[in-house]
Amino acid sequence: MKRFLIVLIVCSLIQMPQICADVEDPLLPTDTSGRVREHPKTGKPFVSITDNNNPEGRYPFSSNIEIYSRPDYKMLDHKIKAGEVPYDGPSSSRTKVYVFAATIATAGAATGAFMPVAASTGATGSAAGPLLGAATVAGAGAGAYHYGSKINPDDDDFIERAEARWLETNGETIHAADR
Amino acid sequence: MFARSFFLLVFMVGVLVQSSGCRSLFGWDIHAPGLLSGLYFQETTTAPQRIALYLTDELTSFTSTNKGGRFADPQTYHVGEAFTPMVVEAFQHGFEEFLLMEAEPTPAIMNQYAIPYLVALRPKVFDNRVTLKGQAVGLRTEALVFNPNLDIVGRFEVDGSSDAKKVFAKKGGPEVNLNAAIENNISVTVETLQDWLAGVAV
Repeated sequence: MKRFLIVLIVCSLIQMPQICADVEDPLLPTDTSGRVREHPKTGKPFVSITDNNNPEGRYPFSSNIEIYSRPDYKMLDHKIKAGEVPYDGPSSSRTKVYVFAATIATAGAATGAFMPVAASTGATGSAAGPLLGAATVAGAGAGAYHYGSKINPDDDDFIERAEARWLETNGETIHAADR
Repeated sequence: MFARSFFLLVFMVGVLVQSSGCRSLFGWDIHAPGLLSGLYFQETTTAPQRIALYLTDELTSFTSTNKGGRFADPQTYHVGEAFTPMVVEAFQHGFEEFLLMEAEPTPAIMNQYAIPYLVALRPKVFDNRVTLKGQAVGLRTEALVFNPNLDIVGRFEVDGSSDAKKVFAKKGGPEVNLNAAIENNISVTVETLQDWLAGVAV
């Protein structure tokens, strides 16, 4: 028995450095740096923690960044006509649809079958601009928060724009009834 | 003879459409401007907090092909591409000491930079409802809040949506509608975090 225990202790000591190496000491400096990056669209600087071995490895922004003016959501109001609010951002190209339709027309076949697709890209409708209200906050149950914004809460057709639901705080799951 | 060549032509056109893919011919590629509106800066205050943001690859590359209706044209919404610059801008304004965590977070990194909380965001659902009158788009994300030991201390879901009409009749309509839904999601994420951190600090 004694011999077995000695063998066990010796084996543990041999294994120990390997076990310890896997646990990172939280007080030791890491192989990372804090570097100043610029927001690709606004140019405003912020601090980023990067891995020294691969500083650009997880750079999250797309390499193809185009800069536009800030969007104005008044544009989404149904009363605002197309072009009334200036907009210089990206928009869907319909050119390829028309080019294809023209190709088909030139070939002299099936034009009618394809044209409605081009026409349907300009679907229209009416009413509602969602982003005019201020955020309202209402607590709902232990640890649960609920946020909502409306065009006008007194209107029958108000639109809720956003909400958050806590699912867990400090290791405690929040049940649906408490949210 | 004529009928035969006509059917041959129709067959060839069919093969062309099939091989090139309907989406590339008729599809809508929706790229939002990826910038917050002026409204965000009016509504959201800056909290005197240090916070780190970790964006999952799943979120930064998130796209949706939910076309919003049985008969709608194919659509691809480049959600992550717009969400990433917008959420960084929102956190820059929403927190006095904002850090973007590009390295894989560890307790050692959290201690080295004295980061009290790390927030990781991931996408859950992108909803798109296209009707004859307009379009409603919505984005649900999940936020996980970690302490310096990287234990989860909070988890919440956020829905942000924008429901507008006549969007397809306006240049940039669907793009701005997507931008609005993303902004609503992000602004509530920041407000929820600010309130929670204020509660924790008390």
